Amino acid sequence: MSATERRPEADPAGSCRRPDLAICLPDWDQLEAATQRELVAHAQACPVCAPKWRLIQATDAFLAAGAASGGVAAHAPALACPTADELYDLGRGPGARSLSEVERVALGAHVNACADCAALIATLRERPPAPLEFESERREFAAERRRRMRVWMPLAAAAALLAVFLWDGGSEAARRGADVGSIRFPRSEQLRGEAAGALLFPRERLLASAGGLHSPLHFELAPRERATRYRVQLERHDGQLFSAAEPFLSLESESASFDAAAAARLDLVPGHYTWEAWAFVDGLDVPLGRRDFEVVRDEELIARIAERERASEPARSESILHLLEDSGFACDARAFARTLPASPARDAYLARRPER
Amino acid sequence: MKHVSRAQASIARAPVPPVRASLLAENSRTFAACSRAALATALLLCGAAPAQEPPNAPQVNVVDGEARALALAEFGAALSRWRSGASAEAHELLRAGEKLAREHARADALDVARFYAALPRDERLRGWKAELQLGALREVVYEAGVVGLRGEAWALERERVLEELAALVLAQRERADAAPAAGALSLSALLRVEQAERADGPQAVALVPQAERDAQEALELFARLGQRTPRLEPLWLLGRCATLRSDHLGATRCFERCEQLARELRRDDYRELALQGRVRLAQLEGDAPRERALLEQLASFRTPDESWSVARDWGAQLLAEDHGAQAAQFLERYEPGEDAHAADREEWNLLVGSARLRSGELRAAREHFERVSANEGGELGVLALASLALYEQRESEALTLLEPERVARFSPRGAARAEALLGEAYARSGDLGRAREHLEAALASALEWEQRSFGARSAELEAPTARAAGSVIGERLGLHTVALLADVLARSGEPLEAVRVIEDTQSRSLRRGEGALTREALLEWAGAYELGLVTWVVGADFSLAAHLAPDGNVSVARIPRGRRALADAVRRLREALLGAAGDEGARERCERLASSFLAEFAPGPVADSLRRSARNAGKAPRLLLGLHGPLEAAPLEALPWSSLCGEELALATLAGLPSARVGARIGARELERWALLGGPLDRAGAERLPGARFELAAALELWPRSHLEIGAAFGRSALEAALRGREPLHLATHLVEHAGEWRLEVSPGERISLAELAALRPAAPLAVLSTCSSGDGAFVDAEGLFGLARAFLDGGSRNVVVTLWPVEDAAAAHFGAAFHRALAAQAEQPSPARACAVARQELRRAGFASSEWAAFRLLGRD
Repeated sequence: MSATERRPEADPAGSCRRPDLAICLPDWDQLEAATQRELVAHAQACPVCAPKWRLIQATDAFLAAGAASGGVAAHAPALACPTADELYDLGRGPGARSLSEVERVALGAHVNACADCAALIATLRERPPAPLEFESERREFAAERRRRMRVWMPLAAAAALLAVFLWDGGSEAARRGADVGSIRFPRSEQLRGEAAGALLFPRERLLASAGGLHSPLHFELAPRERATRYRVQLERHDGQLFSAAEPFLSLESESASFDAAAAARLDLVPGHYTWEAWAFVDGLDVPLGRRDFEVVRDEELIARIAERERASEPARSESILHLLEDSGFACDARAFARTLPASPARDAYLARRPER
Repeated sequence: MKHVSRAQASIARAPVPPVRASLLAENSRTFAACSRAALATALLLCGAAPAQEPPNAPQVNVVDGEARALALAEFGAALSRWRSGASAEAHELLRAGEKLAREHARADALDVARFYAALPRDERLRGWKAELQLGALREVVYEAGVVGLRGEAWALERERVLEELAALVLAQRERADAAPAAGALSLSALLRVEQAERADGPQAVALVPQAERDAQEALELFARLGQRTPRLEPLWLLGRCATLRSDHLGATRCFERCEQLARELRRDDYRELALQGRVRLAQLEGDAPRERALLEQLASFRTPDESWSVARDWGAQLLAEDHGAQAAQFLERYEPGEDAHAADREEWNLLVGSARLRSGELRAAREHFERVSANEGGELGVLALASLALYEQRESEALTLLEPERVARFSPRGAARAEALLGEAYARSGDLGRAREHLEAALASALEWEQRSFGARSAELEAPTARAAGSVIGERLGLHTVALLADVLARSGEPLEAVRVIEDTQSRSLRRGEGALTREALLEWAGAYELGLVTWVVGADFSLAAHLAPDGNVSVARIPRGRRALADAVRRLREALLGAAGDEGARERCERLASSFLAEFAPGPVADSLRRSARNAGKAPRLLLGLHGPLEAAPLEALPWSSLCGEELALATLAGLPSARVGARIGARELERWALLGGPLDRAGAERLPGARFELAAALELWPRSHLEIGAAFGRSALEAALRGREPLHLATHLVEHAGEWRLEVSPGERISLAELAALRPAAPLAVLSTCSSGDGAFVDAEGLFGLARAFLDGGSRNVVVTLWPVEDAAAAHFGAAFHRALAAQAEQPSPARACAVARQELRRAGFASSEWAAFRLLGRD
């Protein structure tokens, strides 16, 4: 929900009148005192900047508290908890997806800080009803793995961060990586539960630009156990309640998350679309559901993005990311985040699933 | 595709089923069960040695499948030689047994070896001879299956086999080697069970006790002899007997025991049979979700490529879920080969034809149906062609195909399906009297079937959150027939009866134990609300809406949208409401969709009737909505009802009328003392929902005599005590789903399943379930959603405030506080429905998006 809706007394247009100040929000603590005061006064009054300002304050407070206590583990995690599947993968239970180093570090860092997830991971690791296994042996194995993980995780996190830093330390990308490493990624509202279904992205709105989609079309599904491939069918319609159309595009992938390269070539024109997904599991075609999205041409937003492109990092990336997310273009925000150098915060943001 | 079940063939054919996919699948399963019995016979016959194979093998210890198979073969050969007298040395058998026990964790092999090693030679030889006799009898049964022997010839042969088996049992039962007697008892039970499954009514029931006695004795004899593998068949047969007796809980237990033993012994054939037995139970109960889950489990070790029954049942599932084109594509991948049994090809043609028909490919459908009708088992083909004729609007052809003389020869279920088709044909021809007659006969037949299926179900299966609560009407007969009958009644000038049929058929599980809903009861319900009652029935191709005004006037209107279109529209509206934040264009589209939805589902006559009622009602009128089918998940609170009923409308919603009487409304005194619970802490002691504290505190301020359990105090025991109590309840916590199970969160980070909650029979007169998706659940057609709210309503709660999807903590807190304020302001006659409407409005005015305010619903009688 946008701040405008929460505060009806605000300017109905809801736009920020001081983009020059807004762009400095992430670096507010490095500004001169007078500019700081001006920025704070603006951020408290502006419906667009106020939530960001609160987020920055909360994050800074969290980081400060973490530093004071000698580590983040003493506090509740700042990021949303990973999904059960991710925790299971981290726990490396039978059939677990292999995680990249970065994913592992990000999840590991969270688990170290979150007692809930740490407890859950022990359970999840033993999830599949593997018939006739030796219980005692398995429990011992799991306990040993947990013991190892507790020792290993912080070390691995440190090592991976070091590796990311050293990996391409002299290049432009690495410099950019270092610049954008401090980006605050958008957070979701606290919900009383979650029920997103299997079709995660695309959803809601996708931004169109003059040459087609602003960002590559990327399909993300909740992975289905033992699925060997996934099929997605795309329909275009007029957006009415009962409008339906024949599928004009069918894509298959072995992964639950994939780029629709073929669709990108089609240059989806502005309009309403529905996608339907199927998983192939043990020879069965399992329906996963249907979801709508809309391709929207928004010249003003594109202009605002172009304006932010001129800023220096990390303000550039952070402001574009938040602009897309706040404008209801979460898919584009995610696509943008994918172009940023990997970091635990970025990967945690990308690993986040919609909760409804 | 491979056909592992070819050898089994069928020793009998099932009664020919009706064509509608669900019924088709149902009947073909009867056939499948028969042929699977013969498969079991074949498997026992084809074993390396008869009735000797033992043990209990934990799988993890077996590292080499080939070595294990070799060791088993060696053991079997040694056992045969020893029993037949070809070998005079018992140590060869004992060694083979030891090897299996030591290297392959089959400890009972040694027990079997010791048992036979200790038998005197003459007992061994006598037992072996009996074993060979039994083998020959199994061969007869097997051959009968292969050639498809049936009718009188098979009846005579079966009696001869049964006599010989009885003699064998008599001769061997008391001997030291009683294994052949046990095998003979099991085979006798198999023959009787198959006969019972092919028979119908009392004849079938009469055959079951003897079959059950034989299977039970076989089981006991094998247990006495320490033999485990041969116990699989009688266990499976006991499950089938219990199914025939409609003892579904007993059947489930037998099949589960069989499956467990088959897993231990790594006998995938019996694992498959046991799971198929459970699939059949789910089909009989119309429990589509459980059937789907079992089929997925089955496919994990027996893919559709390996088993036609898996392919067939999954194809039928896809078809029943309105995925016609995908069902056809799926089934075409698994077409039975030229060498397949004729019955399998018939089933395949019918299913593919039905799928093509559903996806509008009429010519392809006709080709498949005609192939079937040309064959001997014509009932299915006739029903299929009649369906096609109706689809193509050639009613007279359908009537000709279903002439009475032909239908008289149909099986009971085929005849029921024919009644439904005849009813539809007459309805379209304008002969409403005959249409009603046939449709009522079809409905009566489905109710009888349901009664048989549900008659002996235990309380365990009746749990409100158990998915076992299926629906024969919804999943087997189809609500299409109900919609047709209601339409015919309305057109015949009996609209009140139409509303009665709609409500009665879709609220049976809520009213379990009560008789049919009467017109008088309906009028009482409608009269209790200022704007009366609106209800719907959603058929496969069209739906009906009906308004029963408080003065008894009825308006019925036809909606040209079927289940799939409606479900998709509900999904679209929900997504639009959830995504409408932050953008004016999205909000406008959302409003357009909501208006279209209302116009579609409150069509002209219903809308006019509502307007009339609104003119006569006072301020802040209430309307009861009977939400059925996909409408239960529809965010109807977001529709612009003000255009019909004024700004102050309050909606009460129910998934069916839960009793004949509305009952007394909640009194102001009942609301003075609440149980306020929530704000769970995680295991580290951190507060999970900051907003919960806010709403609970607001409620406590308004109802100071309430007791509050928050944070660490909100543990399992506090929740259980509150659920057992009879005070109104406000619950603010997380409801999370994991692996298809919904669980409520309490401190410290503990989760309680819905089954546990439901067992406490929560009966609070008003429960505010301020959690995520508390109005959601597992959907059963014609029965509704089975979830947290259902647990409360079944427990006796009159009103439950629920959410349709996950809501923001802040929004839920704001809503909770507003709801209590509105309720407290109502003084003499509290109305949770009005309080809910006021709180929704307040949320909206505070600037919350539709993703928050549209989520809240009052489920109950108000």
